Amino acid sequence: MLRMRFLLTLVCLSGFPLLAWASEKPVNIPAVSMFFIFVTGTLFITWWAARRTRTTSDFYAAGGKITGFQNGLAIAGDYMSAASFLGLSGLIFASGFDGIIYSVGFLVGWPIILFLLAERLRNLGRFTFADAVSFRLQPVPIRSLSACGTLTVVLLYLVAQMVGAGKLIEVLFGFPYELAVAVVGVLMILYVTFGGMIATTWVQIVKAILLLSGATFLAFAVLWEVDFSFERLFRSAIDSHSSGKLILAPGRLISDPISAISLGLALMFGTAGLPHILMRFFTVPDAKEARKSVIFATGFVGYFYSLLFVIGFGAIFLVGPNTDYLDVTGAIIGGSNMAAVHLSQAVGGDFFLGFISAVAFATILAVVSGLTLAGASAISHDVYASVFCKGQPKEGTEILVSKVATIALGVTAMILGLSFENQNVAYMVGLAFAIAASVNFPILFLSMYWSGLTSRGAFIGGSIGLGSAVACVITGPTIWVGILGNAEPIFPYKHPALFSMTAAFASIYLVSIFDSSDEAAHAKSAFKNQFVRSIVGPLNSEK
Amino acid sequence: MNTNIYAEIAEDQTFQKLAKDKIKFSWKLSGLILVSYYTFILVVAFYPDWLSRPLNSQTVITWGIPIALFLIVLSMVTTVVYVRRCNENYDGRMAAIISRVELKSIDH
Repeated sequence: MLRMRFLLTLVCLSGFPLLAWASEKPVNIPAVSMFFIFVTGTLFITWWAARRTRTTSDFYAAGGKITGFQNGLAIAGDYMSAASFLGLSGLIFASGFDGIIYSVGFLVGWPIILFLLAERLRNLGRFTFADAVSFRLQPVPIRSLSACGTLTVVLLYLVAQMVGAGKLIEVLFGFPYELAVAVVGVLMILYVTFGGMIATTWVQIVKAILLLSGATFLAFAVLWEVDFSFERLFRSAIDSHSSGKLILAPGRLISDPISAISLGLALMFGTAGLPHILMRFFTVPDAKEARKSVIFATGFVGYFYSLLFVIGFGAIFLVGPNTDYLDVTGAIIGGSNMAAVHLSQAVGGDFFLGFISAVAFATILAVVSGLTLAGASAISHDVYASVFCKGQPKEGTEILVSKVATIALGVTAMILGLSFENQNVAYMVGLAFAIAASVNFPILFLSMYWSGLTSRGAFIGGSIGLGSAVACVITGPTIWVGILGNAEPIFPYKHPALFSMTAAFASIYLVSIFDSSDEAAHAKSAFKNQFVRSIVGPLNSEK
Repeated sequence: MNTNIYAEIAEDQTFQKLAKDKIKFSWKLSGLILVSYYTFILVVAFYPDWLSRPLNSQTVITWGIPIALFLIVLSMVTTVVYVRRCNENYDGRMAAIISRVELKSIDH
């Protein structure tokens, strides 16, 4: 009851100044009201979840009680972030087919996760993917490295989401940037500290349903305009776009072969290394349900991306030529990321615009909550419980550490969000994927599939993967030239995954085969048991 | 005792056969996805013109569009194929092995 009152007080605290501050700019009333309904609903979910969150397993993994279908929706929700909803539809709006290349890359990682990782991950781990990696490897170095990988990915992703949220909400709701960042930060801390994984999952499920419904309506409205003829859809888009027929051809965004391959690797294997996604496989009761979640996730995400194609091409002719959505220079108001939002007004009026705006805000909230929980688990479960307490944490302290870590991460994300306000953060999601593909994925994959992997190999190779991904991005065209203002990049490509993944795999291999320590012999001999366990799962006798 | 059970399962020939079948099937499907996707990426990288051709003279739709949709559908179909094979074949065989080995360990 006390908790409930505390929650309500916080809602009021976060809610009322909104209305007062917002009066400087025109406020989008339907959007704000719908967003308030969503927030109230999710806080109710959080309150409900808080009463069910007692053990560490409840907090990190929703007690393993989420069904495959629910988890599939939640995973799809994690994947249908504001970056993919607004970013991909905006990319298709701006450059047509190149946006489709990204969507395909985001999706094809899913079958690979299912065939090679999902069941084994569920069978070996409990709360974080580092559980599975350290099954036979030394926990201290492996968990430290996994936590570094997780936290880097989470922070980059969080900052990108925060800055995106601030900008988006400024345009959509008429709130100041700082307020938007604060609202996102405070709500996400509330969801995660009180409701743990149960709240994080259900908020994500609710949002996924809202977003899928909204996108379905948008796509059908577009198809209605062209009498459900794809020929007319593409013809109208070609007629309205300055690049004409080129929008149905690849090429301008991905200019050279190395970049194309490198981007393809990052998209596919980055997905298989994102900590907030991997963590979702521990919320289901067993490997069978983990498998089921991937079917539903792939189905929902594939359906969603197909809708985005229609939405993106629809926006080209329904938003592009409409002067209501253009500023004086003829550019689209708010940038191409706003294409889907303007489209919602073009086809559904102010009410539907409000709905889509509220859904976009909800999307950011749900995704940052998942990210924060993944980051907090890395701190409390991997670093505190396993490295610091050598796997013997005092009962109850682990959750406490996790909650403190959530607040710390939330505050850090807000501060970084504010300090990066006017920076280009688009590279951050790309970098997060590259790091996930060069650190988390190689050690997870090799720990399951290569008996010769040793702790030293995983630690040194993973660190090289992390270092090289970061170094390539800093010295590459986006930061070295675009932000630091140097004339020529030191590393010539925008996407580092091809190089950083190769560096990681090669160094893990070399260090492992030359590792002749006792520990290496132990790690190799323990592979057989791990292999059986990864296929069979925990047996009834030890449950 | 549990490590004994895992060690015992590891030596079980029906388990070894099952593990081999399942891994082979996983890699076959993974190979299908990897080959299809990287062929697509390599075509984007080296022969983008192939994807820019219209399907036929009456349409503006290029080959790139159905090929991209095909990759999405392929992703969905292969996941369904994999899960059905697991449910109908591998899960049953696995359950049989586990109950046999567990029964044996109680006897001892």
